[in-house]
Amino acid sequence: MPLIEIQDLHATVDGKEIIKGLSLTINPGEVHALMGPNGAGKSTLSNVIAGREGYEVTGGRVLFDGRDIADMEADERATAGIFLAFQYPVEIPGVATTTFLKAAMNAKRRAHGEGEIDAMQFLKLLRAQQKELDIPDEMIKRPVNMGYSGGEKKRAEALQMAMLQPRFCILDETDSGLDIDALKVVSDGVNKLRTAERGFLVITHYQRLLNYIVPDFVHVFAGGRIVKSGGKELALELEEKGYAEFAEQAA
Amino acid sequence: MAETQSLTTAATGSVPAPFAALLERAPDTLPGGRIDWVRKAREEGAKLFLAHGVPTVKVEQWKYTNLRALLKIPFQVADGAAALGLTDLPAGDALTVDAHVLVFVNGRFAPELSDLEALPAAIRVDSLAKLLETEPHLVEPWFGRLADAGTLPFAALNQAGLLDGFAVRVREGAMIERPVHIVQVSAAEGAPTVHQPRNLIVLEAGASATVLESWIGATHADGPQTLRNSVTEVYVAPRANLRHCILQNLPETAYSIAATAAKVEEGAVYDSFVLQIGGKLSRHDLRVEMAGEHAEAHLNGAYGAMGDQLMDTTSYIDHAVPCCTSNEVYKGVLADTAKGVFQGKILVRRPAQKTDGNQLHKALLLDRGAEVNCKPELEIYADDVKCSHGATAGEMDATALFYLRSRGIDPQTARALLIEGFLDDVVDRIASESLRQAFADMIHVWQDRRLAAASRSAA
Repeated sequence: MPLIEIQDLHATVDGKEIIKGLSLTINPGEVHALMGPNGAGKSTLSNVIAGREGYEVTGGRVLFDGRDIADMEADERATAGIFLAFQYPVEIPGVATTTFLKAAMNAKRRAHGEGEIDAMQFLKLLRAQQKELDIPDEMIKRPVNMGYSGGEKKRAEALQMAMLQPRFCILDETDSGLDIDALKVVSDGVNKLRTAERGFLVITHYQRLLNYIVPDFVHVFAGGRIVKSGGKELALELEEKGYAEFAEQAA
Repeated sequence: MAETQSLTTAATGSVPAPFAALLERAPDTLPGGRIDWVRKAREEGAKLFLAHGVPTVKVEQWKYTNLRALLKIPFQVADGAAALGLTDLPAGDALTVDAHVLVFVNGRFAPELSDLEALPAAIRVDSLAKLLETEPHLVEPWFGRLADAGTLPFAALNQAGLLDGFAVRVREGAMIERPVHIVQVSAAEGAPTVHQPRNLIVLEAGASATVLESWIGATHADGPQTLRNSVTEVYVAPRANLRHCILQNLPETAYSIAATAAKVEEGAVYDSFVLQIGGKLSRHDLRVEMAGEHAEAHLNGAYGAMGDQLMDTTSYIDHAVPCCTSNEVYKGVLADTAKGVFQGKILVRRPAQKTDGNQLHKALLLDRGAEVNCKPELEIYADDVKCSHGATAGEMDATALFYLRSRGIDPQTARALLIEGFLDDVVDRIASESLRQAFADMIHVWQDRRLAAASRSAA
């Protein structure tokens, strides 16, 4: 069964149609890259899948594990295994990072009929992932994302992903605001999570990220739908030619 | 006494009977009643209070806090713990932190509930009434000099009705590690009562100490009302460092009108934190005079109000001399039809060059009926200063809420995390970890209370 199946999806924001008939199937173990110019609706797609309020599906559907997610709230989608790594992770003053991580992990465990995570086990997991992603204790001691640099925020997103072990991950412009070192660290973190069961949708404007997270498939997204699909070489082609040609196709 | 009574009669009727009763006690039997300056201070207090009357909303400083309901309650003058037969304190209402604990009931020292044994020699905690009997010279230099009865009507009333309170004194250069925790209980049996704690904190030069206050109640939620009208005068001598934390966790039957007035001398630090989570109506006047160069004041606070509670913080920071720093951050969460008031004034006098004064108030409104009134005020006469103020009021951040929910956290938990986080953000400014924890715990208590009330009204 496909992990995620987007069927002729139409979605509006503030009454304006942004996604205009998008279809995409991602199987377990696959990494798909969705590339497109600014304003194509890339972030709208990630918000629609994650279940953000204000993003209205007006046609088509999204199946996760064969189940239509239309009636699932954002938190239910998350506990079911959908994870969105934000383009702009949100700073939350006063909420301790560990409190937040524990609440998220316990929410997932509860949804799967498991008890709360043991404090020692949690710390052990956290330490291990911090090491992988080069996240110092000092960062963890701060409230959620507070005062993090762009690179630190993306590393923190990767940390959450690693702790929560989702089945399907959307990386929304994860490369934006990253220098090359941070890009490598975050990509390494993501690559370690690539397993036969897990799927990824990597949303990006630039080909650069795909040197580190090598996709199985690349899709060109323009004018609210996919206008071309291919292998990883398509990303290089895009880098060379730009999006102009596809933008015309979409129009 | 004759003079006082004639004043009462002469008053326009704006002074309600319960307050008049506070003014009409035979002075000889009161603490310090035979001391000339105490009698004079009482008389002066009475005169000023009668001149003020009880402030109405027409008085600028009381514009948002209406005392009308308060005036209808037939308060009687309260008794102390012994008279009430109070033998222990309600558990979990006061701050939970390792400290020297002293208890005052209705403003009077309750030795049987207190623990004075382990106090180091360099710090004294007395009952003000006792001090007036034994060593009045330790009170005289400060009494009525820091809390200005001329501009604080209820401080005038407090001065007029002086009975008891706590007096903390830390000797020159002494570093007191373990906090002193003054638990102040408002209690009434049968009829509504009023009490007027009068407190004094003096840190001598170079001394360092932490004074905690918990204002709590000992009456049931449906018990008689109490009115607590307190004045705390604080003197921080040169190079001294006072951490002063207050928890207002009174029952919903309690009214609280409090003034804290501090004078901060050269190179001294006054670090204050106030959390208000209780009471029906609670007003806190916080006045700080930056009196010596390079003095610092950190005035932080948080409040959580629900139901029809009103919480009012009115602060006044007076920069009188150059090179002082004051930072003030207050945050409040308002649910249901609760009302918050923040009036913050920073005055920078002409000589106070190089003043660094910052003030911020943020309110989070959880329900449509909730209300916050914020009035920041900068009055600057010096030309080389760095001053700022800011105020925000808004609903819960939808982006933050979505972020938490996108991690699987259910909406109720996510909201709770954001609400607590909003307040904990100020608590994080407290330097001591154990105190931070103690206040975060109280915010959690408030949150549980709010959720319980919400589920009750939903049921």
